[in-house]
Amino acid sequence: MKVRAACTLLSLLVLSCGTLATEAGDTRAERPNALAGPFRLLTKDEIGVPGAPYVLDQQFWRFRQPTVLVDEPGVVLGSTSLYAVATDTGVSGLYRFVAPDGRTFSEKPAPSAPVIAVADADAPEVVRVGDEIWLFFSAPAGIFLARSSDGVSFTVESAPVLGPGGAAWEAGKPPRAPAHVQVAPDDHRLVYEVNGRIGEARSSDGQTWDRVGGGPLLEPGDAVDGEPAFDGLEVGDPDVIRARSPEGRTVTRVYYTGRAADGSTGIGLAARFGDEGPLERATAPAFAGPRGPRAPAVVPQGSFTLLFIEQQAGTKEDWPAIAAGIAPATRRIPVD
Amino acid sequence: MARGGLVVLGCCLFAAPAAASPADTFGLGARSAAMGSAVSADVRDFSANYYNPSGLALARGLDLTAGYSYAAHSLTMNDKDSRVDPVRGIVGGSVAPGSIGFLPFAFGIATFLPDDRLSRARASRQEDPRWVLYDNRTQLIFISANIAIRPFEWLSIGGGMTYLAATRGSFGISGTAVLASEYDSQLRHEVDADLTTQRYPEFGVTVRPHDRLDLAAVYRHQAAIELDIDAELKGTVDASLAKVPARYALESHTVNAFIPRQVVIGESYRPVDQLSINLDLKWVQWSAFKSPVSRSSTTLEVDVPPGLIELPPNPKPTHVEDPGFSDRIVPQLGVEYRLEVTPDLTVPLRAGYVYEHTPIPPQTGLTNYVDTDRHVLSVGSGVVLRDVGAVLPGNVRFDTFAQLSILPTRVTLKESPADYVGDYRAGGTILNVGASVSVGFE
Repeated sequence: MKVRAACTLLSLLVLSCGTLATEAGDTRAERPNALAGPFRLLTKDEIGVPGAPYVLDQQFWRFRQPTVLVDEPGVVLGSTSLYAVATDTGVSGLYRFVAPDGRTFSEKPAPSAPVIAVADADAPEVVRVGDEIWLFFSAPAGIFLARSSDGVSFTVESAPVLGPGGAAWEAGKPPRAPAHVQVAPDDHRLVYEVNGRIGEARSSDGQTWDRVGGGPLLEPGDAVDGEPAFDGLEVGDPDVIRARSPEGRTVTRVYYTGRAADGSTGIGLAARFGDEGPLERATAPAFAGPRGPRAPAVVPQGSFTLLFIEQQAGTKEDWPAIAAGIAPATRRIPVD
Repeated sequence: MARGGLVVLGCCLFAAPAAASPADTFGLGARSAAMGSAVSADVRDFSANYYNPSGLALARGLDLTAGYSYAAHSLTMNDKDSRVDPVRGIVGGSVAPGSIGFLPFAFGIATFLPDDRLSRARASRQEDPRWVLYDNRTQLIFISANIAIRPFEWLSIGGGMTYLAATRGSFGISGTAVLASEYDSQLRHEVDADLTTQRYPEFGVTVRPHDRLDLAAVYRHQAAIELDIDAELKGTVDASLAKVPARYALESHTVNAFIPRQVVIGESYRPVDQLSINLDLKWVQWSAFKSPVSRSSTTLEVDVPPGLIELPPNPKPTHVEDPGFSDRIVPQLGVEYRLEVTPDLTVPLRAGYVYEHTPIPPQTGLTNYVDTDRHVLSVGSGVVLRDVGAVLPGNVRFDTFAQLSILPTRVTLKESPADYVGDYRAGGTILNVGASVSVGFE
């Protein structure tokens, strides 16, 4: 009798284990990701103003060449300043725009006047160095440096901090599109574009720069399996960040504009472990699209990374505008 | 009848390679799982269908088993839960011995029936980190049917087939889509899907050179569950001013799950009547592993006026990297001590250990097939009741087991500093528990 009861009970237990199917769990799992790309463009629910993926888009302002400074270091999607080249009443300058949530920028510059009113100023790079904010920018004479305590009022050095010169590969052309990273208190690095290639310079104070090595840091890419590289003609517009892998390895990442022989462009990634040595390319572009993306500015945000680029405003809208993207591409940042 | 059995065995020899099974990962049956699956020379219940079909011929009478098992994964990557689904389901089967003339003969069937899903298909990019040996491979229905003969007292031979399912399908949409009024659109949908049976053979032999020693050899064939999908959208987009013919075609082929070819040799030694000490060595041909990366190609053809809309370029076909897995030999150790409490009541105590060296090379490049070594510790017990009544002149057995898999942390350091996945560490545990009830007629 006891055996019969036990068998009955066990049979009922076995049958009761059948349940409805559930959705596979690992499709929602957070997987390892270097937060370096590839990027996707933000969608309309991720930017607080219409026009996604564009964060700055006005035909007559012609916003371009973005560089970004997090106003509150350590705060994810906190107040952020974006410096870009813009054209007001026919005169170009470097303007500052502010987003309280890291990506919804007001198209009214703050201040309303350009922070750098140097004629032909181009390709800015803003960084925080100690208590100061440094703004590098390009001009026909080379790369200039401006300093500020508040990110609004800048004092421009009278002479370029890096002018034409260097090895033969630079062909005597002026460097442009600076990107700065501070490796140690007295070790600054400047990555720049010249002659369709990317070079590197080093400084102990940020003002006196010496070029590193006898060749470029990054050259146009070679064809792979007979397919021309997306950056086979030129590389330029670098942006550089230092990151740390989950295993504690320092990685220097250089994002850049790659231009192919057919004129198309994409955003590339090359990197190295540590702070010395050559760069190694990623297996695929960090971002590609049909509207000529260029001039990347990358902003780590903890568990994801934002990318700001210049590209054509639309299929028929042939003026430049500034768009935003995110990596990992599966991450979403809807506006509250 | 004997000729019929030989025909079945002959068919097994020419069966197409296919299929897969959760039994490889977690074992089959409470007793066998408790003994570290080291039972190839010591199995005579329904689980012989998986471990060694020749064991069926050693059954003393009709034997029926039903049970349930549940395996919960706690696997992590970079200390974040990978959320690998549990594997749970009903396990059971039977052994029906008899004779053909003077030749002892037995038929057996075993099944693992998942209660969450009968099969799972998931294709992902080869760059995406995934626990490739645990996500799809274990989420399968398993049915195995075998026969065995015992031509001599010291020799038994068995073989049969394991059945699984694969999916082939296509769907098509054709017609006209009117942009101005969706109600005027006329679209025709066609879906053609097949859940096809796949099967693979297994064979086993058991030899008893001594009263206290059994030796066994088992062969299981390679298996692969494939997923093929073809899709086509073909028609006309009616934009009032212009009618634009469009066609989109997708072809996708994926190896959804793969079970490698295996050869097992084992022994079971009984120094005293109450004690069995078993050791199995399993060779696993992981070098034949087929990449689970989807090989897909797409084609988009739309005749639109230049500059009207932007069409993305057709993506290049996937270049699948060689996974580069390597073969491995898996040692499996199991012991069972049968404590006779009374002549009608025996309490078996079981334990086992398995070491599986990962077949997956360091993932320093493009691919991210995540795995580590695995140490499996298992224990189990039960109750064997005899002479429980006139209706059942045999025994009733209750068996339980608990199995803990420990996957030590494995650190992956990428060769390329520009790798989009980057460095990571992976590891964790898997807890597998289960119970069964068996009825043996003698």
